[in-house]
Amino acid sequence: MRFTAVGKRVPRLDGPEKVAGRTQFGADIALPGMLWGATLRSTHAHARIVRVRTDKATKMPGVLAVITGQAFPTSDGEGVPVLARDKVRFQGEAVAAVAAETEEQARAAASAIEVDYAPLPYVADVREAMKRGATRVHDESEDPKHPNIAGVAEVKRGDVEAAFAAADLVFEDTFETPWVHQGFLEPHVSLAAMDPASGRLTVWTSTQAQFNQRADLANLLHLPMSHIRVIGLPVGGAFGGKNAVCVEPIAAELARRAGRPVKVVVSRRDDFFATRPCGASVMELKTGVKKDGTLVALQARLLFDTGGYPGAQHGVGASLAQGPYRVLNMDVKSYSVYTNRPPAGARRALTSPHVHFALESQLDIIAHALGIDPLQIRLRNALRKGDTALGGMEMPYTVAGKVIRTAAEKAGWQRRRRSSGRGAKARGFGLAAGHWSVWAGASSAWVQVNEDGTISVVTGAINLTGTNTSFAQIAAESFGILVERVTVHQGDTDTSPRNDGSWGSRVLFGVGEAVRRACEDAKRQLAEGLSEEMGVPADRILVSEGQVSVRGKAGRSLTLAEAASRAADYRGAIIGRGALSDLPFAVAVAAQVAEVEVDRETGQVEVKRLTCSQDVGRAINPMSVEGQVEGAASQGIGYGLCEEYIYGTDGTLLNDNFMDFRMPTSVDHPQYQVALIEEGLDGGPFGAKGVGEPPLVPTAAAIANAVYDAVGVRVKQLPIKPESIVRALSGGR
Amino acid sequence: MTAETTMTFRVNGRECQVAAGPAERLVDVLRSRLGLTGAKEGCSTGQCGACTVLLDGEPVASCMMLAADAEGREITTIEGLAPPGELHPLQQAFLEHGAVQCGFCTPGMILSAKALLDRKPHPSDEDIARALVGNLCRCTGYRKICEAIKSYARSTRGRSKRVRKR
Amino acid sequence: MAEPQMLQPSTVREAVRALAARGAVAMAGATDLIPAMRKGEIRPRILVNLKGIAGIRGVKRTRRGIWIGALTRVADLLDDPVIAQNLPLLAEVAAEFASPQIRNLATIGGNLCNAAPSADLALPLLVFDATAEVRGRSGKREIATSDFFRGVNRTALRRGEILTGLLVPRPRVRTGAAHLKLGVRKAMDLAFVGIAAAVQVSSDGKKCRRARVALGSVAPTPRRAAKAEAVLEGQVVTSQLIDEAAEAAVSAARPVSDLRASADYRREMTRVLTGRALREAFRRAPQERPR
Repeated sequence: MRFTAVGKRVPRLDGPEKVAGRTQFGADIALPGMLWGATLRSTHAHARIVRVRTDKATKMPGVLAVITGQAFPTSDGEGVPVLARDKVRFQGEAVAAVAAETEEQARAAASAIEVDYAPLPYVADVREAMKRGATRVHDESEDPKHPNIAGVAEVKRGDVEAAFAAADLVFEDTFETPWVHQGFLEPHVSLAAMDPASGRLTVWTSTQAQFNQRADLANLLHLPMSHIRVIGLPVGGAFGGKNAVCVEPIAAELARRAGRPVKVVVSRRDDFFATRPCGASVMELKTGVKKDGTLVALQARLLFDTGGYPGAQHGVGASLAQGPYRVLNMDVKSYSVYTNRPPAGARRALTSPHVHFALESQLDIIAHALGIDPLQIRLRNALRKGDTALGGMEMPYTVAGKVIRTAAEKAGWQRRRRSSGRGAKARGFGLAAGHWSVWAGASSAWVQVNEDGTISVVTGAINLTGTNTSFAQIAAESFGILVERVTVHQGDTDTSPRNDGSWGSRVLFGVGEAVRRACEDAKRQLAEGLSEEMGVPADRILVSEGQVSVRGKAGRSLTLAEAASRAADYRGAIIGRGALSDLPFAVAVAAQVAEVEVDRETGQVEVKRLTCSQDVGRAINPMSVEGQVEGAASQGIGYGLCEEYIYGTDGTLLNDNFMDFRMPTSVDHPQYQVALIEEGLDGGPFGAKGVGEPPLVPTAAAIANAVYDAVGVRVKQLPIKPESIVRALSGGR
Repeated sequence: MTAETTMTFRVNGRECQVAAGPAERLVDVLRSRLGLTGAKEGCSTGQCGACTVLLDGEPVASCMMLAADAEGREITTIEGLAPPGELHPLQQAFLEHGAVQCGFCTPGMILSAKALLDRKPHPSDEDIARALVGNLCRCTGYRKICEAIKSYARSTRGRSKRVRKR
Repeated sequence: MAEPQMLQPSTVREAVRALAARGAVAMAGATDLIPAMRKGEIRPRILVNLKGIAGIRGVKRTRRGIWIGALTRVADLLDDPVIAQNLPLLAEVAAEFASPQIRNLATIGGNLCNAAPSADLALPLLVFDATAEVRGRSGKREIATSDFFRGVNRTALRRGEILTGLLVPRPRVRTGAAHLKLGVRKAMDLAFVGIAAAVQVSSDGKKCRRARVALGSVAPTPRRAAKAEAVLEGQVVTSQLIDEAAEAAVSAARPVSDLRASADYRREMTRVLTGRALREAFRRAPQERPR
């Protein structure tokens, strides 16, 4: 199929205002009479709140409202209180908030609120938290033996014991990953205003999910949903960190009490320790294989640190535990575990980078032990059509092997030579694959054909990755017009159809398909509207290449503009509707080869080249897809080599800044090679599927495997620190 | 509170008089008092570069500088790079090469690149990467940003070598 | 928090007088000061902005060597012709200092007076036997840079004194110098370990006449590694000798374990980097003969 708009490298539609610095992010907006909000946050990792005294703060200059945990009797949709009530469960938990005339006054008043804490012992490690008699993060826990289990998921398949008995070799390894921040550059920010006459609340916020915000706010503020309008702003990066409510309810409640708009800008420091970073994990894998490398059994115990409040890691983690491989006998137990850390949020492919770091590292261990090429062991086990994947679904087609082979070929895997390099430097290659399931969820769009023949697309999906540009391409393709003839509008909760959040790599897949269907619906309406005038049944009227014509009859065509204005005369505006939740899961597979240089004496690792291949179904906009792949891989380099939360012995975060929480800079990025595989077999628009998250999944493992290839050191704990390499090379200690 | 003092400097080619506190940072004066919100505050510690502006043509972190220290000097913000309604060819290059994703780092990134190119119109890859170490970007992985800058530098090499843009 | 009062002295004498007041804090590039003030770690009553002081900025050749004004910005060290010709190592270190946005604000005096254990610019000054020029109410004095640092964020400056400049003797003939630092990222990282080395070789190039080794981030202050220097001086340079010197440098390290690295690793890296820096310094020695 030849496309005219799909597959083109179209610059982002919101790009011109972004390069001009005109895009208004949350912190850039101000309203008349606006107040500033500030929060007081817990200095303890775990403590009972004995008393909160606000009288001094209330009397401070400029202060108009002070709230404490009593303001929010219910917790948010994920079970996290907005302001701590009886107890604080992590350092940085918000305890009280203030609205004042200026930011300085608000901050000063917040710090004048006096809180008496009764400190409690705290638990900071999932293994400790799982022990009998561990400190309880939640007093009301029902399981007396394991009071800190927040959630359990199991995947069982085949007969694991028999399979282990029949295996030639069994490998047991434990892997660990750290807490990390998603690394978005725009800290959380919200602005809220309540109209005193109507009682209607408007919230402007940097969020991935405005409709979820609305539902949460209705709950937390005890307001009817119809009284709340959430306006999703341009988002300065999110990567899963802006899925849940953060300071929105605080701004809203302060605005309600003060009777004036309130803006809350979270400081970078607070964003580090007080929002929802990505949780740590400990993963124990036991894998049985045949001598030829065939995987026969997998037993896994996955412990995901969910911090002080519930999370969804266990379920997703369990479903991904087999990787993009055929595993007939499985017994996976996966837990979300409470600790006195921040509530764990999502981060690009929730738990998948964790699980694949473990799995792909172990697969490498197995390949080396068996003397099999790491590429071959992956190809041998790669998922094929009909195999069971993702904790139950059947693979609809075979693509994993191709993705893995492509990465290897493009990286020159067969020609690779481990070289000793210059001086103390050693080079190595590492291969890893990974997968992610893309779920469309509730997706919807409206498409209007305007009387000048242009198309307006309206969705309620937050545009993070440039999906609006892809929607324009999809609509342009559907009507056979130029991309410039399409406008895409991200509406708010009052002005657009409901959508799930911009997470799970679902937007292009689900909402893109809704846009395509809405276009088809609009085309059908056009045909119906013109059927009488054109004297043919609607099903003979064809809308393509910007024309409306009658099938089989040359010469009788209208331009889209003519057709739209006439059809509108008969039927009113032509508004196509696309709404769906019926798409099956799409499985997206990614594979990467890292080429690294390791300094044997200092342990420093440099990623020289990263070759990424990915099954994207269809690259609606290859430039934007490459941008996702490279950006995710860069995040993966950070996860692999330098990023981690470091806590002090008192449970407080020590590296709450960008100097010590080290994200890769412009001199830390490798040469990228990107191969996009477009088989277009899923139900997404023109065969497209989610692309944003999968490329983070294999990176850390690929680097770990390359480090092993270079210097023979197997690091099972992220990040791979220079220090651990040096220690291992000097024979332990 | 200490009284505000009046400071005078040029911003985007125009002389500006601002009353501000003595310890007020340049980023605050630009954003809150002059409405130039193109400089973003991402970290408040000079580590992310989102607040980068040019001071007499050189990049500085406007969150790490007091406005009073800009007295008598020339400040260029992203808003001043091209006349209203137009884009500087460097901005155009960022757009066309997919060097912009979320856009939060973009103004600072473009200004750092501008300062480099003004000093060194035809920088090496290494020069480009080194000029951007103070500008974090979490979205792109930096490659497309470096390509955009390179492409702009190539396009200024004289007509014969001018690359046609799509 | 009350906003501090800002004073803008235009002479050293005025600055010294202003700094004598209680709660007065000197400010130059302010890149360390602004975040510390925002965090509430420093609450000055009076900010004494030194940047308006004439005559303590820039680089000059003097009879006693190269003079660098304390207010010279780190960025200015990168392309100053006098530095390039006489102290290229200082330019190298400056080029790796933080980011362009910080280099265009931060001053050499500020970096030294902040006295971080990792103060990058201290190392080349230490290996070139630089002297700090200080002015206070009782007049002028000079402090060897090796005596200047007294602890984490502590210097030999007395209340009311300011650093006005650095005096660096012109490096001798047949001198080579090198600097290495180790972090996780290739830029914008506070080093785990930083090493500078300067060596002067004999006219036949075989012997080490003079050696200086300075260590950063491995003790409360940047400091010289005297034992390593002693191992080298007067000896015929061999690979084994360099290894011995590198080993000896470790004894000058007093590292702590912190969030960036463990003490053991820092000690080990002191050895590795000292060896590398010395090798590079010797490699550069014959070519870098100043005219």
